[in-house]
Amino acid sequence: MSVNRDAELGQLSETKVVLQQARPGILSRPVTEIADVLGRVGERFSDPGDQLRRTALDKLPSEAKLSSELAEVVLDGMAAGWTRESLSKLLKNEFADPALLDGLVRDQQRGNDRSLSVPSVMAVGPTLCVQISSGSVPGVGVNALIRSLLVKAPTLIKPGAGDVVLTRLFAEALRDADTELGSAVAVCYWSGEEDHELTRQAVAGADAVVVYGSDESVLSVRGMVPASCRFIAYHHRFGVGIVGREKLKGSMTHLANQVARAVAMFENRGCVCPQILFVERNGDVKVEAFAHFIAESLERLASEWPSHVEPEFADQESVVLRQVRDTIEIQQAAGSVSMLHGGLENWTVVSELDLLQLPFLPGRSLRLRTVENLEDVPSLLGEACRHIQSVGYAVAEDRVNDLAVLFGRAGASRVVPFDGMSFPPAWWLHDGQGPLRALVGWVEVQ
Amino acid sequence: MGVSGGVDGLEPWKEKAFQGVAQEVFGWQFELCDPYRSFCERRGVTPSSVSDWREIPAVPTTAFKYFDLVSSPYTSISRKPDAAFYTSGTTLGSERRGCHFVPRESLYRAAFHEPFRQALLPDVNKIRVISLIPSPVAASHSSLSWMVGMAVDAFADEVDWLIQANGEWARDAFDVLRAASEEEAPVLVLGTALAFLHLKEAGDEPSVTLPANSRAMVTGGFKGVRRAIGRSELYSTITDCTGIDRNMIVNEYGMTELLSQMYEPVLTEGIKAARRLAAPPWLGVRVLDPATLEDKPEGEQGIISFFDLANLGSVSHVLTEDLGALEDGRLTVFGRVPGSEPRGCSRAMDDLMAGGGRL
Repeated sequence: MSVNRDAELGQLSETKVVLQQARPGILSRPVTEIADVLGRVGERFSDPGDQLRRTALDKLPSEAKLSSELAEVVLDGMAAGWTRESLSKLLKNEFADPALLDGLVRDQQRGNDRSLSVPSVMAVGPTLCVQISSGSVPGVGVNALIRSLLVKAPTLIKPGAGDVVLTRLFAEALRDADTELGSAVAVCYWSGEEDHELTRQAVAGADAVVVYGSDESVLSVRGMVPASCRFIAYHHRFGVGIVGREKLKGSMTHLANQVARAVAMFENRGCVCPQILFVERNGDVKVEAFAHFIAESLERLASEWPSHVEPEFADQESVVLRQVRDTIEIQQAAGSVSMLHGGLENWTVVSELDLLQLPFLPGRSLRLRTVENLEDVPSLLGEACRHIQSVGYAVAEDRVNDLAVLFGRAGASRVVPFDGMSFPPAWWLHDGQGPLRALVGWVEVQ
Repeated sequence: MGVSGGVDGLEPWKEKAFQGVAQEVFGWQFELCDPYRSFCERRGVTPSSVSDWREIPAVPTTAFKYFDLVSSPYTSISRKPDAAFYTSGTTLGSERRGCHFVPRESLYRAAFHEPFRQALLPDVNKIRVISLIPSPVAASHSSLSWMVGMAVDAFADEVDWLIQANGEWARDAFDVLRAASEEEAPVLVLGTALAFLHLKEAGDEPSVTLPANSRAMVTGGFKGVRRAIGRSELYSTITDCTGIDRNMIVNEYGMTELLSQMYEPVLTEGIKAARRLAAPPWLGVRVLDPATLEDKPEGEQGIISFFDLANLGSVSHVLTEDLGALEDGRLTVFGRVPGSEPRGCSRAMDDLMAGGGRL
């Protein structure tokens, strides 16, 4: 399904006026009540008997270019964060007392000095928030919508081209469930890359702008907003994996399966997906053997979670895969890499002797690089570490914290076992910041 | 062979003749180009094992970004290549650029001359050239600029370069066009699709009507730019701002990785030749299934592959990212495959490594 622009110049201004009129209504609602309504709508996406879920599953594959099998797994994973329980946890993780979003709360005493006065504080969300998303990872728009409403911010959302369906379905279901809350959200699609004028008009007058996208997109929108506007950027990032030598022993099938699933989820388009796996030398199982295990897992997954449904897209991908695999094959002929791939299936595993510059591999692809010690990886990656988001790990328990400190200081914001890599919980520190706290300002009465 | 419908005067070669030269060229490249030889050996193909040029391994255009694919007996110390052409990349990102080394420019010149003449100047020997493509002095690493330079050397009695090295219009660009429109002698305008689009959008400058029998060559698409217009709109744009009739606009198809070009021979065959590119006899053209690399049936869309004998100094068999279809030996190009970049929130690691990683 192609997504057509549904926003016109001029119309966005009217939309924003309507949104701002909704603010007094949502400000008067307790945040726990808002979370409850959002959670009830969100839970419908997990209910197999609910028409909303069925509609989503019907439309998702062609829009997000996922097979119906994978679309279902992705929806389940994303919707797990949209339940009443998850949203309640999110609020409590972000604000010790969520009532801070409803009005003034007597602050906790700071430190041990009893002579310090204890102010009352409250958290205030934006008067108008504009969230601009991009890409084809479904569910990002719904997360954005939920976060905005939890801080009581009327919000205009431009979802990514592959994420319009879910965002719209959620917004419509919310309107049906609660007109007042529903009127505080508008979902409009246009191409952020092509229609800068619409983006410029969308962000005008907002006091918070959130951008998900490439570094170029983030920079371009950042230049459009005034200094007084809170600007939150979720720029492009990538995931890596680390495997300690102590885990390279015995049957590798289980770990290989976990890695393969992390790679295949979202067809490897997410920043939570590992692009490269650093594997320590001198394990009982050699890296080449481990690569074979992963390749076998990816091949099995090709039946369980087939890749695309649209032949046209599969054809396009196969043209690019052909280019890239043949280029890597020249590298392989020179002896510097070895490659396993799925032929007509879109998985590819490349083991490198050195960290080479290789063309970007589309589809379910993973690069493996042997390292002496995992502790060397941050310096090996250099400034690229600033773009690492998730680090999937399989290392001994007593190494996790030390490695997390190293990667964290280099720029990564999430260190997680491979089986938890794909779907962070609702209350995760998204790219290193609290997803709700990033949106609010504080007021204190001294 | 893939192409049998050559332009007049460039009669198709017999399959056997092409096969013979292709095999010789492959032997040369196998011997002199190390990465290519290893690649072929890995696929179990050697000059002695090949009986059909189609069996010779094709290198993907992407490989030109990662390897020096040079087939020359001269080392870089004893003799520098005559030219090194770089792909344009895109304006959207820091994409790696491909490089095509050309040990001997003379072969490029020879491959260029006759097809260009027959496609654009079948009726005149010399013509005034107005170029919307920077000169080879301004853009020495652009194969297109070199080509225009060769056209000027061979066929121009006068030339005006309207685009400067920085891509901006020359100060007197519009005066040149206006003055040319007041002359009687026809003009040949050379430009990229994007240049013609810019010409139309260039401020308040009025359109001109160039003299009768003027003609234009348009090349390239809108790769990597945020704007694109359809083919018919492009031709209308050219007609609107130059007055050149549709049947005097010739589309050229070429790429940095190839030294030969293809043209729509509308000047000799009329408008029925539109969208039907003719190849010179030394350029083998095939349309393949991307997954299996088998030839697609006549008229069916697939990935375009070339065997360019003029690429003697690099690698002749090149697999492109362009989609097309062959019919009666003529090629219709549908354009570049989209989606070679990551599409989610993930970013290609290599893109970032180029900035700071240890490589």
